[in-house]
Amino acid sequence: MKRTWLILLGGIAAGCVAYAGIYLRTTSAQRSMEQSTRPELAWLKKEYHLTDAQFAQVVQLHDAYHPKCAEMCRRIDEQNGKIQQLLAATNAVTPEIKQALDGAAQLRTQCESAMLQHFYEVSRVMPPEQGKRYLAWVQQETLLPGQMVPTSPGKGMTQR
Amino acid sequence: MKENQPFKKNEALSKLLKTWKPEAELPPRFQEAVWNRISCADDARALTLWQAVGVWFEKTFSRPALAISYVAVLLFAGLGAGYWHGDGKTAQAASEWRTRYVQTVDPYQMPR
Repeated sequence: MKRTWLILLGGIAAGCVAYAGIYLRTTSAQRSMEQSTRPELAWLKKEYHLTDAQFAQVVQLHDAYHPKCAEMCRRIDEQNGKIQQLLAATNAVTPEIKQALDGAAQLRTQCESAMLQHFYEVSRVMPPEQGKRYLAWVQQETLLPGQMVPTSPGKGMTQR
Repeated sequence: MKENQPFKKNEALSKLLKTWKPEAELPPRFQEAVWNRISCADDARALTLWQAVGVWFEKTFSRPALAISYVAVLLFAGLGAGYWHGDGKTAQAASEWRTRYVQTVDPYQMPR
């Protein structure tokens, strides 16, 4: 009976140990990224096979771009608020509404140009093939319309 | 008269049976096997469910091939479940980071 219990519990223990071992191994990279200071950037290093120096440059470019992005975000909100006010005040397309919509379109062009500029700079830091992959993916996610859920890099172009 | 008839019939049957000699041979250790089966049936009737399960495990694990198979199945089930769960978790986290990255670079997707 003792031997039976040993086999019974030994089997369960072996299963649990195997589960924990493979789970920890599979998620080790993810956990180390979560512990990094910038997990939203750390995945770029793994995904695009960046060296430490390349990744440091990417972080630098990102930090330089971020205030510009926040400023654009503020201007978009401001412009949207203006359009909403104008739309609420009338039931016809007035010259003011046309002007506000033109302003929003111009702002979108400026934002997209700045984004594209940033993406090109980041892609130039990466190894050439990885840079191409990055550009294809990030353009798919940001500049091309109709995107609902971010796709996995390398899959984006085929999913559309 | 009627009551005697079955007796007479039985008497006739008894005589006939006494003359009958079976030609088939019993398998070796037939008697011992019968007693073993009777003993096992008595044991089984006396066991509770848990005891029966215990006896079943004991009998099953007394065969090394089955014991090894049991451990191997649990081991591979653990490996498979761990890989499947870990892979799913990693994919989910990667998807979240990609979303967060896109939100940090695209003012139109930035959370407000």
